[in-house]
Amino acid sequence: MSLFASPSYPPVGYAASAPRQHAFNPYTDNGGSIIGIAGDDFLIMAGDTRHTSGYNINSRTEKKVFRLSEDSTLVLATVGFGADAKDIAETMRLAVNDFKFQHNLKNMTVQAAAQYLFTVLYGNRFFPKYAYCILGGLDKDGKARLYSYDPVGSYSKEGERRAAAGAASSLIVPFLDNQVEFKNQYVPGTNFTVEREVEYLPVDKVKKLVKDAFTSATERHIEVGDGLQLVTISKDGYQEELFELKKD
Amino acid sequence: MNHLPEAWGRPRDDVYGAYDHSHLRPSMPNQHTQEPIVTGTSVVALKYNGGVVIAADNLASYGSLARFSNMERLKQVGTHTVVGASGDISDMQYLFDTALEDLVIKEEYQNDGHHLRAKHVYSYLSRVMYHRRNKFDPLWNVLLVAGWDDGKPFLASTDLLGTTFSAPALASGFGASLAVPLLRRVCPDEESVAKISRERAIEAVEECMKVLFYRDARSTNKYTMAIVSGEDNKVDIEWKKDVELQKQSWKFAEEIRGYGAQIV
Repeated sequence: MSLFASPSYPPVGYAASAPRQHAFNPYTDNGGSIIGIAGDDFLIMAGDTRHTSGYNINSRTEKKVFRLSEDSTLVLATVGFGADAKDIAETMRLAVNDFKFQHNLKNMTVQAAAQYLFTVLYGNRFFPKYAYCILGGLDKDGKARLYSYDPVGSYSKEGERRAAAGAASSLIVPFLDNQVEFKNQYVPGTNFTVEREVEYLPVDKVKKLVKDAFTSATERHIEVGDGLQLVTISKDGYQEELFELKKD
Repeated sequence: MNHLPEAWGRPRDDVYGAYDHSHLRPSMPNQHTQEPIVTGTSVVALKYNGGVVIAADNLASYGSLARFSNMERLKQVGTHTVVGASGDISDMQYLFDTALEDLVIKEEYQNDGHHLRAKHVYSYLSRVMYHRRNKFDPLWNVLLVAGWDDGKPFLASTDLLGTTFSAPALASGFGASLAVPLLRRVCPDEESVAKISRERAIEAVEECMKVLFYRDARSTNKYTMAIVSGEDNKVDIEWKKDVELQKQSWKFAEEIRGYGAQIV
């Protein structure tokens, strides 16, 4: 018999014979979503600025994309449990800063930062930091690199072309599959036999995709909205833009 | 071979019998805070052009019993900041009377002309809260930090999990549902802070305290309000203590059966 079948009486086995433990739950979900898309020589990182607790909106202006230092191209976006997310960002910021002073003012490479972030996350394997991370930056050749992580640190060293995480990732990922990796797109006139070749997208096209992804996610997900923080990293450095999203 | 991943690496039920979950239960009582005992309800705060208004009522409840009716839940920290606490009162007293007191003594002892600003106090508090949740021994509070920071009003929140966020209008507990919508009507975003006068902000917060008293069964009609105002680097904190709610209207109760003057 289902537990829900008898609404008024607790099942016999659940009688209050033993003292009831009221456990403290150290996690919560603060909603929101993030996206990272790598172009050939530029990188877009974006996140909405809504911060939620259940059905409450705590703030409409909490940013999820963090610049790890003023003079490198490293950018980290985190989403999930807000306190853990910010703690990871702060840990990474301090690590990038320390590295610089211990290595004759040389900045941490994006590959090194990626491996370090894995260490941070996996180091908390038995009390995980409940946050999904997307790390990006330009490598020594000026090529964009993008890495995405689960809460315990799993990531791909090859990096990825696009990544999405957070509350609306299930809405955003299939859109990005189709629009960035051209999944299910075929060359016209080939009767669905020749797949469309994947190519790097220009920066203005990527920005459009990101804005579309977030306006759509805002329509369908209650934890996404209010504002869009859109960060561009290129040879011209770091650029941050803020756009409005629906506040309902 | 069981193909279900959740069964892998576990003793087989058909060999060892069903797993006895009672072995996982600790034999000693847990000494960490498992639930708040004596509690304070909402704290309400709003930024305005030149400062922040923050208020909390003076009640400390023991479950549904109105236990202490003179419990102030706002504390001035240093020269620039007022902290408001809801949730467990003993945890609040640890923070206010021990942690923050020690912090201020340590910082002011230098006598070097530097004072902790609201952002610094907030940073300290949020790290303490997060640290304690990491130890599975949380301080069961929601804290609002109001103050003057670097020529601007400052308002932010932290809770028992170490979650942090900031907004021009904030309220904890019941107030998050009842007061924040009223405050956002006055101040929807950071840009509109500049258009709100001190009087308007006080009026809005007073209105919130009234609505909370109408609807929150763990609230009282006596509250404390602090107004932190600044000009460049000069800060002034005005205290209004033991304020009684003014101009209450219980007219709405007339229409509610079992609440107003009806006999049946």
